Amino acid sequence: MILQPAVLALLVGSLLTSFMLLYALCYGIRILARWNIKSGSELQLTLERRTYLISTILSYTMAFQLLSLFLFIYTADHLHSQFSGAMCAAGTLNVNAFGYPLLIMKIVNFMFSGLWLIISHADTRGYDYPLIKFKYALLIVIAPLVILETFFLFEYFLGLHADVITSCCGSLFSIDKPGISGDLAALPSGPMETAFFSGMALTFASGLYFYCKGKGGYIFSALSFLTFAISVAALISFICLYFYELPTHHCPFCILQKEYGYVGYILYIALLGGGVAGIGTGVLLPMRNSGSMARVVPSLQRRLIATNLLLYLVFTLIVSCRMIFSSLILGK
Amino acid sequence: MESGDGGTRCRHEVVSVIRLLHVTKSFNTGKSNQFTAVQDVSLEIESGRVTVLKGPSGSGKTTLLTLIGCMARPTSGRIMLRAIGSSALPGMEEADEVEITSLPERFLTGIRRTAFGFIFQHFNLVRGITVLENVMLPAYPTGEGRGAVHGRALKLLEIFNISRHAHSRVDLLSGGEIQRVAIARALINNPSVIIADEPTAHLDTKLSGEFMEIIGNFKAEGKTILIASHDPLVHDSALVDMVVEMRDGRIIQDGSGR
Repeated sequence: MILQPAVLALLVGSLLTSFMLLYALCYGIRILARWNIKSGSELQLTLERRTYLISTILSYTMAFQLLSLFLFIYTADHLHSQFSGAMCAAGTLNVNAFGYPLLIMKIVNFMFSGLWLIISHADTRGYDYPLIKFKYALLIVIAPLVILETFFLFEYFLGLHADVITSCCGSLFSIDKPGISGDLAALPSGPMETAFFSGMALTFASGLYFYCKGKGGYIFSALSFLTFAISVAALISFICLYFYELPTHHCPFCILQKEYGYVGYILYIALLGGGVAGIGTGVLLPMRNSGSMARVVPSLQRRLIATNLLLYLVFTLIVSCRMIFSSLILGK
Repeated sequence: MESGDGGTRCRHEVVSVIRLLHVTKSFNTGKSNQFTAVQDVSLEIESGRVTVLKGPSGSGKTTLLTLIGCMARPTSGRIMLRAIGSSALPGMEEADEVEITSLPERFLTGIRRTAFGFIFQHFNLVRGITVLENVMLPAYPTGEGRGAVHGRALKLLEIFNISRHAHSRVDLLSGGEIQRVAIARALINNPSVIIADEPTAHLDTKLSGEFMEIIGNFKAEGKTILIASHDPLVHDSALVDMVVEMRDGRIIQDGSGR
């Protein structure tokens, strides 16, 4: 294990997050089993009172979960100098078998945490606890995933040994490399450019339509998710090439470095934030007309659409500017 | 329905505005020093009437008032308000019934602020600031314009004949004047329910009489008044419509047929 302040922060933070989620899950199971808003029993009133505290603490826990993804990526990037062969976070993550599964877990948990925060925000704006059961039922999915992530995190950091020779990103994200990274790198740039810009345009059109007319929410949400997936593939397939101005360098991590103005952080924040906001819009749709949510959800959805469109616009503008002003011209 | 007490109250429809269903309030629950201040109280309080909670010290009167006034939550039981502060909740009409014990604090604050006016036993005026500022204080969090609040506060001080002291510090007032400032403060947000906890405990007979006159005026305006008192001048007053006698946290007599 390599002792670094960021590594310790991630380990301790992850342990605390898991503990909090486990505690909240136990409480959530009681809510799912015993909650009855019509009852004035001592148990019901105790559950009502405690849910404020649990929700508040969980909000901070989930917010940490969001931040920890970027702290993890930063740490992986920062540690690359410790390993022979590593040029960026790609190499550090490849040091042992837990690196990439851990990264995927952290992205999945980022999405779930973001969605939980959106649902909890809506729930606390209602006076009749409209989403209380849904909110705690979601913990049944999130808590095991976060605990698994903590396990992966410990396995990964405890398994980091400085004498390991790892692969560089040029090799890991080469079109000749078998596996997902190689397949994504090998995606043809022309069709991917078309798919990326079409996805963004359709998301914008459906978002504006839903914002103005209040219809087509599920289509917008599905398109947001689809565009998110296409954008991740596009980053590896062709977007990175314009940043590096190298037709063969597909690494999605080098853009996080100083040489590229840390632009990767902005791109990932925009993409992940926009994705969560877009999917969250759809998740709230079934509650749009129920009880006190009838006043809360529509305005919240409008804010989420605006957030999604703004963040996707930032992503698209950065990518477009880079494509226009880059010395690299693909397909010629 | 019309009041049968010969008072000056306007003729208006009487509906149950505050309903308590099996309300219990315990402190230090589960510990060796657990104390139950209010036990299984069910009660209906009607609008536009004067209701007095009567009983010795420690009978649970003040605790019950704080529960009704949204200042504390019961350990069990429910409290419902009809046509009181409902409009503070999104999507609800003023005439709707609201169950307040389950409300999240952010909504409870809105109801407490607009629906209830409190007159405390020790009046709890803020020393060091003026009479006018004390009266205006409960209106600040509502976000209403200062001009409107200022005008209303001055009008209230005029009604209670203390406008000459508007810019004096409350520390310099007499007992009777302090009482009237406290009443004016309770009215600044135009509440539909006035809650008074032992309001005559520190007043002489003359001032207590004046207080009951003011209560008579509130009743005439159609306000609902809820008083906790063991002062005979209060609970034996002709203005009172219902006396609820409490002992050891329980209702022992509900004089609603008064």
